[in-house]
Amino acid sequence: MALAAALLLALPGQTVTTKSPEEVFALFDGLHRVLSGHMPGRDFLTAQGPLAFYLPALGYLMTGSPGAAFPLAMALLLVALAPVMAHILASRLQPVLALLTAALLTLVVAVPMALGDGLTQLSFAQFHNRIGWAAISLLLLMHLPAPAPQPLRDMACATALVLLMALLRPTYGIVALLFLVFLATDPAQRRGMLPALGLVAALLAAFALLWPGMPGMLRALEMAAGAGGILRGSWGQILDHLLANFTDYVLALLLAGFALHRRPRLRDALFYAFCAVAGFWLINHNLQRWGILPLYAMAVVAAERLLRQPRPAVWATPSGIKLFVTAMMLPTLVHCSAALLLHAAVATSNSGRAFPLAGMERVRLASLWTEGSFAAGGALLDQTAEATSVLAALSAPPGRLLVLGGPDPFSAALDLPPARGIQPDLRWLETMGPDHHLTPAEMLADVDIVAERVAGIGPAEQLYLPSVTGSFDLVAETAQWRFYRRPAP
Amino acid sequence: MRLALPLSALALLAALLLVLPGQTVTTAYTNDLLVFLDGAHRLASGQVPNRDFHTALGPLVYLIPFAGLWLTGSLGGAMPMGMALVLAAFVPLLLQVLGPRMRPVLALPFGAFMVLLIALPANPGERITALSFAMFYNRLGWAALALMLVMVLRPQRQNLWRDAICAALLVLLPAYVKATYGLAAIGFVCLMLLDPRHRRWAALALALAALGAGAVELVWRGSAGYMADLMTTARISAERGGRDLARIALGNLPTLVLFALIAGLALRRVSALRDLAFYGFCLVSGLLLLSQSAQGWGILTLHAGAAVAAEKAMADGRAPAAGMPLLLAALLLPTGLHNAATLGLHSTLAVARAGEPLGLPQLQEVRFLQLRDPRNLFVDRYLAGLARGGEVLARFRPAAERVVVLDFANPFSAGLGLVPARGDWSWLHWNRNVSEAHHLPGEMLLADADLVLVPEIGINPGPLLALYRPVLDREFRQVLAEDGWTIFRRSEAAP
Repeated sequence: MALAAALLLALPGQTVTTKSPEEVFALFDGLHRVLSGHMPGRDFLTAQGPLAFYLPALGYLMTGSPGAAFPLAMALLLVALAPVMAHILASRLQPVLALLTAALLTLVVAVPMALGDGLTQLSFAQFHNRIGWAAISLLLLMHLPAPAPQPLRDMACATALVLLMALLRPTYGIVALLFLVFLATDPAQRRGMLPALGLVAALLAAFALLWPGMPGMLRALEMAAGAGGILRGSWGQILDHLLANFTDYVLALLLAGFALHRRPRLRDALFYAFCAVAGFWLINHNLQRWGILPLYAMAVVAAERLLRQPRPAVWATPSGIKLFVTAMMLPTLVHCSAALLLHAAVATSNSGRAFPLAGMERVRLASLWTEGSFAAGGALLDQTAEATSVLAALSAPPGRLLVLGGPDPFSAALDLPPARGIQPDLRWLETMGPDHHLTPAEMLADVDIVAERVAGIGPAEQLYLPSVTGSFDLVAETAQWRFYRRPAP
Repeated sequence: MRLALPLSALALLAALLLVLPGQTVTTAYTNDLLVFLDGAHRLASGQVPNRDFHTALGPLVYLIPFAGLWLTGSLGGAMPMGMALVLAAFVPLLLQVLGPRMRPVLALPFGAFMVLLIALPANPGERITALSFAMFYNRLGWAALALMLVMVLRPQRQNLWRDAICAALLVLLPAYVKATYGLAAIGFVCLMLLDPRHRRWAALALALAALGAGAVELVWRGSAGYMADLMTTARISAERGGRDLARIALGNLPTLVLFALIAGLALRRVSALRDLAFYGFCLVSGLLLLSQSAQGWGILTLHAGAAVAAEKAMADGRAPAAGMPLLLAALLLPTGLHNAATLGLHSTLAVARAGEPLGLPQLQEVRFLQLRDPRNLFVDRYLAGLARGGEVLARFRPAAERVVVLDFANPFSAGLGLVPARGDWSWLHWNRNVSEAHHLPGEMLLADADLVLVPEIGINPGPLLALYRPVLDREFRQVLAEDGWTIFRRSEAAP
């Protein structure tokens, strides 16, 4: 199944989006940076782990095509994850539950769409979140003791999963590490999990000491935590976010309640609470409304506990429990398979329009009843292509470039050397804020030319724009873009 | 009966939660709510729907808030009390239909789901923060049709008259709420005529419904006007294409998938073709009805279809039969709890007197509260405009009466307790019941009006003013233009 999903993704060799091209620009800018030899954290400021950049780079290096980089990266990850998934699910779950869970997690990684988005809103943006959801769910499922323990394999799986998350996205890494500590204190799991914890601790310590990007990553994390807070948003927004996942909470809590009612276990109660709380904390830090996968892990663990009871309760028969879990997962399974097939169909049929930017010809903007974003995205593409040719025609080569007002499409398209020391992903009160941001001097230190996207200027960009207009010269202007160059000394 | 007590208790609790605070709290669709308060006031002033004013909604949509107003004496109590009365009328039907047809382990959750659907002071599927009695007629229509669908199950003991009377009421109730739901209900009874096991009660129900409609017409004498207004609205509202249906299907994918799962599990039986026709009816009628309403979520015929399928599977006793109650719960429980929480939120806010009363003297018990984050600034300006309009009208000499507002809703007749004008529309929604091509001539719309108000900030005043400008120029003179309102008064009779 993982192979089928991987092939569906990778074979067309194209990336399709029906959402804003900006998301693609951001992904390609990151890819361009690491391909130019930049290291995340050392050469540019980001709170994401290095794997979020090196996975697509691997996809690129294997195909030589930027359009295939993201589908192939996800396909490779699926193949790598498959044995881990197979071991954890097969050693712990009844066949029905194992199959359902495997299908769900595989599709969640494979689907080129942010969880919770409509079927027609295809995009690879935030792909690392979906990997994180699948990995944390697998790790959470290890809470169930295997009837026939295989401590060595358990240790390998847990270590791989925690490292994957820590190097992909620190929020997932923190939750994973906490949970590994919880697992290591479980007498039934101690034989596999204590060594895993030691191994992870040693490897992470070595990584922290040796990885040159570490100081930058820590600074970005500190900025994000300072600007966004431990829990983002107002209480109203938090409540709203919880209610967007209401169905999953109700269903998972019901099963967990049944399981605890049948056999009260303190560690199980702690586990369910951890899933419910940590799952929300994770989604709170994602750009995502729906899709707290740990609630599914919670439901599966509760279902397995109930199914392992020697005498089933009348109100929770084995067939009822299996159907209940099916009911919880089936809508998402259908939704994700349909989106995956849709992406494959659109990618194969070459519908929509190719990005008119060098290096992105194998990325297509398509309209699947999404005329609004297709028209807006098309306009942005045209404006960007126009601005790119203006930039290319400047008498002196552009040099190192910083974009204010959106992600940078130009450096990748014109193969410019990326600027060092900047923060590419400026999101107000999320990655940075009024009291937590790079100073204009830091941001502009290595920059030769600044591109201002007029429509995208917000409070984050306003921090830097005055320094640009004050000391840089306006050298070119299109309808949507202004270019400023640092005056020759 | 094992069903009667818990469902009645739940309905009573819901009714008390609605009625006791004596307030209406709204956080969304305030303009729509004003239409029903205006309707209650019109009936209290002696008007009759479709005879004294135009509307494409059925007379029950006006009678229900009027009964609430009459019982509580307050416009703030009109909608909550009206819905409590609906609950009181609906629960006996619920028990008569579900009791003999569905085992309690399924009937109880489904019945509770239906009670909470009617008691919900919001549109199903919307955020808990979107409190409003607006479009309550859709919930009534869905509930009646969903209950009707359960009649496809054969009762333990046949009772021809009980079944026929229930079915006739379940045809008439939606027909006098919103015609499309009535049409679907009639379609379902006609489908039942094809099945020899159901033919007798179905035929009797159709006859009883026809008799009932005749009796209603003797009292009401508005049926012809209802039909004419329906035709007008049908001509204006654009036809929905297959694409809208697909969009709705995608928006309701989880419900569709679970419905298909339950129906699929129940379908492995002898009479598969008949069952397929039933499930197909649930799906198609639900999709079409939802496409005819302003909501994007809630094909509630599917929930009824799933409950029927669960009962059939359990009656069959096949392998997954024992799992059906839990499976049905997975479909009904999240929505049911969400609706219960919404009802609780409304009561809490009403008791706490949250938000601000609408700024008109008779609407002191109708409160508006912003729960949107960020605030919806348009609503703030719209409501401030209504309050200013009320102040201007209160100063008018000679005193204002028979006011027509050229916008979506007229809050002033009810809000200031004025004599309402006759012959106008209950509400005016551009390109829904009034358009460039199809509209009531100005001479008729404004025939009885003394004052015509046009707001600066409204839902759709611009096109309405342009459309009716000639009549205003001919028969009215502008007497005031300040505070965001332009007011026209009827000229003295031409010399």
